[in-house]
Amino acid sequence: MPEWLGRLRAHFRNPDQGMSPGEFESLARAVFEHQVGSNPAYGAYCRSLGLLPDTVASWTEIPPVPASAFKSLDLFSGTPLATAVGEPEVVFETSGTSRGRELRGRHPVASLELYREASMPWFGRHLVPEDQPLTILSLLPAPDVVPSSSLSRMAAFAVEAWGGPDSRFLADPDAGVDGPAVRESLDRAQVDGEPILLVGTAFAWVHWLEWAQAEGYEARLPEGSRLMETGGFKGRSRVVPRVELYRGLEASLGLPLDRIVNEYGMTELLSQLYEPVLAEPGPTGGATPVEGRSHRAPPWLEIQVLAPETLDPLPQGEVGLLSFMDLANVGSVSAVLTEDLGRVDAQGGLHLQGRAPGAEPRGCSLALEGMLEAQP
Amino acid sequence: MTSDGASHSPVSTARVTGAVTRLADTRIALLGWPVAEIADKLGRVGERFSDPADPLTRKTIEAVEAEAGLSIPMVRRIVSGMARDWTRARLRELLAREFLDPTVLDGFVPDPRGRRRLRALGDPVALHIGSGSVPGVSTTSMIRSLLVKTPVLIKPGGGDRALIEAFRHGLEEEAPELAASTAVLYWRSAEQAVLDAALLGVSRVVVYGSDAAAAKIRGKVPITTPITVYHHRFSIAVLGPDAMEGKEGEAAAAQLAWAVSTFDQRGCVSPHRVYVLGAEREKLHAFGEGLARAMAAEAAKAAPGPIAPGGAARLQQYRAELRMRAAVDPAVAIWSSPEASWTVVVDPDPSSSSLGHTRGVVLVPVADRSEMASRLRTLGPHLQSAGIAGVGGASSLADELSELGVTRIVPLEELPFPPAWWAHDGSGPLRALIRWVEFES
Repeated sequence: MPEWLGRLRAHFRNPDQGMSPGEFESLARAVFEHQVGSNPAYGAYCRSLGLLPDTVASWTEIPPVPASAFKSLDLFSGTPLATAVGEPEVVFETSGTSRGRELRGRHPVASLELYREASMPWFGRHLVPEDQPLTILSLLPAPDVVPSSSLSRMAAFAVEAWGGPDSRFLADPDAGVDGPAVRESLDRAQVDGEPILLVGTAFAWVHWLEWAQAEGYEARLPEGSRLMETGGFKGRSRVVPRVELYRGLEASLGLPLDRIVNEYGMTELLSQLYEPVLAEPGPTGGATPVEGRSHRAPPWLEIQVLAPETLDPLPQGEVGLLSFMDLANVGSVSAVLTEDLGRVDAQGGLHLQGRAPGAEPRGCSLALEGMLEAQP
Repeated sequence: MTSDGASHSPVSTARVTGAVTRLADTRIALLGWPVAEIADKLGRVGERFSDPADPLTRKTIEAVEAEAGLSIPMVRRIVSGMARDWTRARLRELLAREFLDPTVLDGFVPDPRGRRRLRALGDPVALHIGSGSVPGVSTTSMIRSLLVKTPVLIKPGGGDRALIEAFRHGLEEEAPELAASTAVLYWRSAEQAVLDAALLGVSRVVVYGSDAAAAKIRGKVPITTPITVYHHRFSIAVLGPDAMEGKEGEAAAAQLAWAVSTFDQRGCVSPHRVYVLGAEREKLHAFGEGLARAMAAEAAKAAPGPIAPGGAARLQQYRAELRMRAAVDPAVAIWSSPEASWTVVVDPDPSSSSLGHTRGVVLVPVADRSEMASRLRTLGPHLQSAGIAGVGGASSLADELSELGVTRIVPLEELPFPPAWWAHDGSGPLRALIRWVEFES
């Protein structure tokens, strides 16, 4: 294992130590050099742009790949850690949409162990800051059912790290959330009186709320319980505003708003960003408003905010396209340009504005993708 | 912005109902106007928009820029291009092309092919529903309705309000009694109750809009009410090897750039993909470079309007993905402006992603017309126009394109502005708005 990878793994294990700008620059260059050298598509792209390890002045010049490229190109870089560099250990896939025809993004992961190392300490800091075992109920399919789900895999890592014996996965990829099973687990948690951790996507929580409402079921979770919500409503027919969703969860589960944590992650990134509502609770101790929250990135992930029209970097505080340099993506490509908009505040908090939906001017012409995606 | 002779308060169901009732009351008077006189009055107003010095035109250009998100030079191009068909001469020609004897709109006339007499009759009152931000679509629709003597309530697209308001203002000055047979009211598509109220009182409906929006409206219209739907479509171009090089190549690139850039590519007549028949890679890429220069020249003449962050985000994803593919596949190439103004791509395997309405054009090399046909087959219901250049055997190509769903095959430079009498999505623009009555005694 090269020296730089050892240093990077040490950072994964100790995120609270932070990372100096110089250290990030050094590691980013090492990762970039590895990826240019071992990833034919990315290497050719960087050569075509004339942006290579010996020509970029800083990590900010490392060319990002668009998230959409994960759909059409093989972006596997391998890692010097993996025994069989030629094959990814797993390929995570983006979720499909209701339109069905859209290609799924494919993120080849060289080493699940590295994913665990990069994801768990930051997860723990934001969702299990007391570092004590607890029941983890995941409204997700288990990773053996959906091995291509990065989220299910991460939840499984969390169960392995902190999960008590009653931890369970409570959803099926076809049938969705298993309402009766969730109810049973919540009832047991209330009897036990020990705090639990709930994990699920926004859409799963909407599904659960609809089930609970139809059943007239309400829970009062033990004090200290917490909930992680992630993802949006891509391809779903129903979209619920976040505040409305959180208020519903508060009423249904008896969980204060400041015990609900949003995770921002995407299949194309192996690192995650979290709202630090548990890790850095507000000074008043009162409920943290949902609006105005920001996300914290781990030290090995840097954010650039770019002008949507030119991709030029924007001054700090301005809203633009988000581009990430995620060193945990060592086995694929670390620099990823997203379609999401946001801004970074002076403290480094990321304020997400989400994806700008269909805001372009329309005419009597059909945008081609709309038609193509509508076909069976 | 509304104009129906009533106050300028927000549009309510009562106001829409009142407007429809008032319009229906003007029908008898409208039927009494000779169609030639109606065309003359409309033409006099329309000609004002061909005069850039006319105060009405000047004021309209600025208002259209603000609401449609287009640059001033592009608004001027669109307004002058649209107004070309709003003149007295062109409206007379429209009537002559649509009807052997245009006075068939005034009353029964002998059918030269038989003993019967025929009359082309409009309706007591119509509702025309526009959408989007292509200026002039609603105005043309209003003109068509008046020519067939149907009072009309127009709900323009959100980005097409200023021009029709201006036209109606000009009509009030020129012929107030004719203007009384029109009303322009704008409401948002979410205001279903207002739409329902409008539909209740009309006897004909014309809809421009997305497939989904049009389908929704079609579902609300009673079976006894005729409806014409102009759903979303897009256009293509087909280039033969003769259009790729030399002066012909330069001309084709310039014409294509003009067609792509006009309307900022929002029109159903705007080409998005260009099928290039049997071109060698080198020649195709050289043509792509030339097209890129022409697109830059077009942007310098008439800059595109501002792009929303969401559109820019998708464009950047598309461009970067194409650049990555181009790095590993020499058949793929991309040229683009430093900002979001224009993009030219050579892609033998265009995916489901697209450039949206961002002055983006994809050159798709195909071995022959058979391959082109197989690629276009599933797109047929949404095909509109095809611009062609440098193609041998144009007649047989036209046959093939017709079979695929294309309703208009023209030289490249003709794409953006079809004449008033074009077969709009396959039907005569006035004949689509009348019913024939035959009388045999």
